[in-house]
Amino acid sequence: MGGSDVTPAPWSLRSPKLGWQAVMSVGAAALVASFYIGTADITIATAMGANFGFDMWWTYFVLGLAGWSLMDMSTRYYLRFGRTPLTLFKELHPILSIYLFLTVIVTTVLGAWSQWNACAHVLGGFFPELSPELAGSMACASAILFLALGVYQRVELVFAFALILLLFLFVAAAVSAGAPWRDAPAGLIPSGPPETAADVWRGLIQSNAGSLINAWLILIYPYTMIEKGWFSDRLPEKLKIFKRARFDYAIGIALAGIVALPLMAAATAVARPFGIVPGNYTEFAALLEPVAGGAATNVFLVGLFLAAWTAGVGWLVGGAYAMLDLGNLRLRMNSAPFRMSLLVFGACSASILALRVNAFYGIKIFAAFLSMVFPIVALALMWRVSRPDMGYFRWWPHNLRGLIVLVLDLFAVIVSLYVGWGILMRF
Amino acid sequence: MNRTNLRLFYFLSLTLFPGTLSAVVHEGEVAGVRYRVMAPDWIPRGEIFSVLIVLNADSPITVAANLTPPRGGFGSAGDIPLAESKTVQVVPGEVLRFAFTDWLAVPDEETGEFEFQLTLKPTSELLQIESVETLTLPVKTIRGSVVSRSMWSIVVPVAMSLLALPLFVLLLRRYSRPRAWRDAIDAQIPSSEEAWWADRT
Repeated sequence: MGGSDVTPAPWSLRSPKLGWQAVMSVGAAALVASFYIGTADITIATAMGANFGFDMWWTYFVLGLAGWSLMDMSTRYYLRFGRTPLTLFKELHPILSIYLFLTVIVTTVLGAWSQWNACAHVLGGFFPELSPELAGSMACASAILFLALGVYQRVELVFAFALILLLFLFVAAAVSAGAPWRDAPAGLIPSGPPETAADVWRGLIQSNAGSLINAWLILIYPYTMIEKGWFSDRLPEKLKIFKRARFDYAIGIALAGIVALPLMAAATAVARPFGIVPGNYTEFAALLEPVAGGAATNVFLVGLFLAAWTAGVGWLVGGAYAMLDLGNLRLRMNSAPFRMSLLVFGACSASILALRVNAFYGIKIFAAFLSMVFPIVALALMWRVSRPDMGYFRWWPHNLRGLIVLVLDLFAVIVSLYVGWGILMRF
Repeated sequence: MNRTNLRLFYFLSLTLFPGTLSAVVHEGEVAGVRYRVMAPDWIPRGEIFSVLIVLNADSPITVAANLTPPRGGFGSAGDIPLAESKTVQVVPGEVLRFAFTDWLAVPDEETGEFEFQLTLKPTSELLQIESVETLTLPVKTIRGSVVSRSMWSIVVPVAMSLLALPLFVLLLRRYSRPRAWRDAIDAQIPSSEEAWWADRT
């Protein structure tokens, strides 16, 4: 399946034009975005807004660029060899299969749990008689049902609509809170930590990196390509697919930064004047009420539920694909092993709800935990894409396109190592 | 509209437009000062309880706010919590927002129903009669986190997540070939119907 695309020099061909059919075909951008726009994104954006206003908005784009490069590496590997992302770890050393087996189980269960926890929090705010365990389990069961009854294309479509809806809900909540939008563009200029709260600033950067670089979940994009059969042995066609894929995950990651803006704006408008950094989602929603009215509170909470639920679905999908991949099974959403994986992940993640760990606090720790995983993923990716057998997609500093790819790859790996190391030092 | 549609409509209405978020909201006016006070009406033990206050008035006025906590359930474990006071200046045309916060629902105490009392006392040279508004803020505590806010809150969930491990070992043994976990093979990619990338020239 590797093809014989060794004739042209790496990165020397002009970028192909995409036809309307390619641009308009529903890609996995919404699915990618759902991994980023979950409770971690909301928690971190809210804390950033409450502590520093818009000053940390730029971090979404700088860290997002690192996330984009890591996704790009896994896509290049897939297009070059027709192999799944986890296969590269098997190539490196089989012991990494065991490492990933453990990591995928732990992160998927915890990732899904933190989303059901947030769903439970929202439902508990609206219907106090519902226990958090029951409310979270209902969210989990509905996610499993949605995936077990659906097919892949329908999931992408539903996610695209959900994303538009939740963006609208968060913007509506921020607008009614009278957010100081004029200050937002200044937040795109990178700035250092303020002297008085440098530790909080660094902690938020590291949590945001954990959320945006997303451990092994960064490898999921090629799975969506396999589901849709996006592959070719011919280099010009590979390049077309590659361009479309890059466009897709760029949108997905950029959306995380865009969704963060109304959340930061709302927190800047409502939390800062009270001198409060919200300790849970209901408190943040309650902060909106005296400023923006009850409707804004409800709108925010419905948006939060949607973001958490779609991110929970994203974790289940990612985890189930990874399990199938580790066992060299066919990567199909409508297969028995996929559905059984969903059930196991769902049952385990819902059972942790009984601990009643604060959703806001749990997600901060979890995001930091993810940051300790992604340096290994980044190093393995770098090892693989720097091999000479990568053909047209190999590292090539002799032309501009190749040089940019090389610089971005190195940047992503350095960011991963820096943040991972920083978090280890904090513990 | 048949019964199923009515149920669906009822469910959607409840989900999208519930009355209020479960919270205590007091609105009113005392000595020309308009106030809106908000606090949650339930909270898990171990969480922080906050009271949010929004004031505005047509003339400058000083307001003394005093929050008296219940005799149990909140504050530091074992201590009798003291009332907290704040004095604020309300400027005409501006909305003043402030909060009483950091009231911890003590993790070790029994769950139950408690009452905070908030008094708002405007004072100004122009006021002839002293006015005081006393508001009751009932709050119910429910069971909170089983694990403390430390490494345990990540270690215990990680340990629980590992319960899935034997299930996945069984699942992979049932469906995979032996040693599949260490064999790097090509993916089984289905042919695509859309194939927008195909060069048809």
